[in-house]
Amino acid sequence: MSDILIQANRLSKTFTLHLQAGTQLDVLHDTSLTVRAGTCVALAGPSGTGKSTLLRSLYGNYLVDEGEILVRHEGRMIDLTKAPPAEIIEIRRTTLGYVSQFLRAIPRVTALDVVAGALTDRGTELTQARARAATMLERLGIGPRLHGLPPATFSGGEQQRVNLARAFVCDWPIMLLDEPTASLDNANRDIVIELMREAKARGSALVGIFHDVFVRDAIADAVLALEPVSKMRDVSSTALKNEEVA
Amino acid sequence: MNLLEARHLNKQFGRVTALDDVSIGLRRHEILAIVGESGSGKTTLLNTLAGNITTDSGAVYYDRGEGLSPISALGELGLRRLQRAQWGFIQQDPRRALRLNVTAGGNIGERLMAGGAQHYGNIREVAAQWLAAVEIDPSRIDDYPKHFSGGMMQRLQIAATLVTEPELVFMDEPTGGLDVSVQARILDLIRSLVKRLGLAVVLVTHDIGVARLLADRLVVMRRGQIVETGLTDQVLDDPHHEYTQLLVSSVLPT
Repeated sequence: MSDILIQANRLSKTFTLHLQAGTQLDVLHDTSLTVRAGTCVALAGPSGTGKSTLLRSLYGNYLVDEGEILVRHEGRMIDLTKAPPAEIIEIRRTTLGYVSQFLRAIPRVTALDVVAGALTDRGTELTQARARAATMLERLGIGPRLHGLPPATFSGGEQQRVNLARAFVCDWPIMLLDEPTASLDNANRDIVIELMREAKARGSALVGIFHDVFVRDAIADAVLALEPVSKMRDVSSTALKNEEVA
Repeated sequence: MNLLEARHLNKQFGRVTALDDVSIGLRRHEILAIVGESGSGKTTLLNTLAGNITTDSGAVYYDRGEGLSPISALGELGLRRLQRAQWGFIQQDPRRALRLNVTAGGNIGERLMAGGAQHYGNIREVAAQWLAAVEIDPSRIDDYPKHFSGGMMQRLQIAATLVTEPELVFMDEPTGGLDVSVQARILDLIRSLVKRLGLAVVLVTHDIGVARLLADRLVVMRRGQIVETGLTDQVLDDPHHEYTQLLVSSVLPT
């Protein structure tokens, strides 16, 4: 069983929208997931079935209401739902990589250092980190001319590739990927598929949302089909008032 | 293993409750942001943690290497020494922290001398290094801060605070009164210095973007109470409390 890197058991998640009269959205209900080393599980299902919610929960970015999320971190299975913030930060630093579609640009930090930062955060020495960052950026079609510039001024596609470079420059034991190839051209899409395959070959566990069926077929070993749980539940105004009093 | 801890703080200003049973902890190297609107008690909490004001009940504990002990037990002199040597405080308005009729170098040097440094040449050299670290041309070491722009003054305050290499720094809206373009530079400076020096920070801000950029963990305050706390991105992306949802939804998209 030691090749299981993620084991999520019976997750449930309901959003309560206080600003919309306490409307409740049931997004996950009794969802479970197992991911082994060297494999990729794709999350599938129509829009609104909780693919992103599940992925974000696996990163500790969303809190589930019920269930446990066991993540293998330095040889031990740790329940993310119970881990204190400092431990989650540590798990994210070395074990859990998250790839979103969007780069959160930091003012004044160059593209090269955005990517190298992922390595220096994990203890790699700066010169070596920059060298590896440069190689990865070029692999994703970001030439040296752009390395010294802050990505805030880049096109959307370039920013996305900087973000991908930042994710793939590290050898994450677990990678969570939210539409990593969205809006990439075919050549870059193929490079990302290649990078994901290399990660799998190294023994990483991947969980991803891939709307592009071509990408999904190319990389996924299993598909978790999520189904809509929910009807919206409107909480009556009386109930809301009671909640406020309590 | 907290570096700083507050337990059950209560503070009343007349009929206004500024702190209502507030407890928090801060670890070494951790950056904690306290967010909330004006009047939420966040600045009162910061000043209490920093030993600037006392509460009606509850206590602040600090670990000076021998486990947590209440800072009230240090006495006034001991607390002053702790604030000067191991802590730093960055004010929103640098004019309140700097001496405007003392040179830039003097403002930095003063803190060093208060910490026991005596050799004039060394002090001047360190001051020049710190000016460079906060991107002020070291040739301006003999200029008076009253001739500096707001952003430069703030950077000088940061240098004058960090020169003694504190392990814990309190920050009260450090980018509060500045233009947006100047803010970005200060934020980036704070971000990189905090990382490089391994500081623990308690930061008060009403700006969610600042909290997201700098903080590991977030505390949301309203009417003197902590209504929500957790990892910064978790609280901001999946806010549970009604008030946090309101705060997050009020931010203009970038």
